[in-house]
Amino acid sequence: MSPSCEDRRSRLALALGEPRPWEPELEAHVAACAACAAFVERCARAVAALTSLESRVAPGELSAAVEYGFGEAARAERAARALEGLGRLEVPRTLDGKVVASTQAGHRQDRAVEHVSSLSSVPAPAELERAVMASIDPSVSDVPADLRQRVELELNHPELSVGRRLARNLTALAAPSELDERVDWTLRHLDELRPRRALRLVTGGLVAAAASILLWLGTTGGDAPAPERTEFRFKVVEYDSTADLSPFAARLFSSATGGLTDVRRR
Amino acid sequence: MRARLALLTVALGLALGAASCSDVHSEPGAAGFGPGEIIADATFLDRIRTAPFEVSFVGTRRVSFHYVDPVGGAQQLIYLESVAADGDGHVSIDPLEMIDPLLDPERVEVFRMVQSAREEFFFNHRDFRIRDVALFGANYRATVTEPDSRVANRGCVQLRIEAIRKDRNEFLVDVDIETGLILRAREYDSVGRLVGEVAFESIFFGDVDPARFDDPSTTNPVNWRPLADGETFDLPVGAPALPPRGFQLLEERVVTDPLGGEWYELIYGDGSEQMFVFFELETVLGDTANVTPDDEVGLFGIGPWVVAEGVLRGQSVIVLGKLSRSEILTTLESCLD
Repeated sequence: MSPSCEDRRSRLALALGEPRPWEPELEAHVAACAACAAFVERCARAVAALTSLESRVAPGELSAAVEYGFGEAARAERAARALEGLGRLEVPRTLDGKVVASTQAGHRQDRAVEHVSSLSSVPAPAELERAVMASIDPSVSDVPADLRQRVELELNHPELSVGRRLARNLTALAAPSELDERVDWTLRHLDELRPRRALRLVTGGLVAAAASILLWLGTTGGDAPAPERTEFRFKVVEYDSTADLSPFAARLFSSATGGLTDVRRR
Repeated sequence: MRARLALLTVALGLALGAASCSDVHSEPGAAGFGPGEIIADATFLDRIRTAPFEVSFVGTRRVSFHYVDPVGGAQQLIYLESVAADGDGHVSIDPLEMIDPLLDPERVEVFRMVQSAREEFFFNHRDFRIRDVALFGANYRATVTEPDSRVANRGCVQLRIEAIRKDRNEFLVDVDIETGLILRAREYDSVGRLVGEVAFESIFFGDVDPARFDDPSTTNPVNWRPLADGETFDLPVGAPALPPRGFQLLEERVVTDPLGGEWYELIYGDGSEQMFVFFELETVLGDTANVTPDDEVGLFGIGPWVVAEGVLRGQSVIVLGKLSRSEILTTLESCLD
């Protein structure tokens, strides 16, 4: 796509909602550029297809539900549900002793503050965000038991959960049954194999030399690929993403690559 | 010339001598093929060709693609999918678990839905296949690399599939000895990098519940119909006069894209790989009398796949295949001849 076409595409897409003729500069470009004319045609078909869909009336209670959802009361409810879903953390065991000690001696308040301040802070678990998101859905009224268990496992034994995730993705390999036989045979015939190995080294070297000669002979002929052409009777533009393709071509290409272009990193 | 012949004789003699000194296992495997043997048995190759359509099975596969994107660099997609076929033309492919890249849950769900909607295309066009035995024999060589390999706890024979012209990617495929089904296919580029792998992790043979299979109209990027008898199209450009070497026209049909546009599709093949050519049937420009557009083609590629899309003489055209950019563009230009 040329830079001039790229500039005009967004204006063309907006102009589709307006009756023709559009502004003279746009009309002149569409008349002269087949690619942009095709783009206009495709957009018009897409608009026609979408506007031909039957419009549905939203349920009456939707407006009320949306308005309530943005209110203070709903926000407080969501926060409370999210907090309920958090896994319980164990209080450091030294805390009880420190509190008792600070209440039995002088400067109780200062010592209590000092001891509490020295405790390590525990970061909020990663599940908090997911629990908050889940709480927005009104149909979620309670945190599933297995989620609670997973959160506790994540907090108390992070190495176990990471290990399990990694191990689950590994493909289990079985040693071939003939491996045992080969090992036994090799161990039994070690003495015989030593002279054979020397012979194999010498023979291997000669074979490598022979292969090089054959390769040299082979490259002087054979069915070599044709030289690549670089000149064509049309202009060739290199795209850098599937966004430059039409929706149909992009979808075909994505299918051909097994869906990789749908998750491609930019 | 005499010197060359003499060198060739010495080289062959040494190679044969080395082979006789070797104690590498050279007995044929369960399929009856020995290591290094070139498969010339057309019956065996035809069994590989028909197995996906005649064998009833259910299994879990690991799919991975490792492509180089000229802009984004190395790209990778790895996931597990469940696949089933009833041996009667019905197939089902459903993504199970996303392994790489790690996407947030919403994107994973969208990805699953989109992939499920492509199951017929994946089954017919994504994975390695022997599609025409005669063409395959003319363009490829299948050599036994491992007579007794095992995949998904099944006895297989492993084959290296190389293009005779050496300008295509290579494949290592493990073929189930009993059914002829390919249980693992690995694709390597010209420098030996693994670019794709589709491998069964488990598979079970037997009847499949018909409820597992979706309506085909929802499982394809396009809906298509075969050409009616004598149906032709009057287009400003013609079918490619110069498809890539080894490729022949195998199928023609009319497809309808999701927006209702109709395209005349030509599918070329070389026995394994395919090239797709599409011509849009609807008139692009209402009045071409006063238009003098420049013919322009846009090109994009990732890994081994290249797509070209453009307008030639007012005709929208798309070409897609695992080909070089030069082959794709030469094919397009030959439409102008």
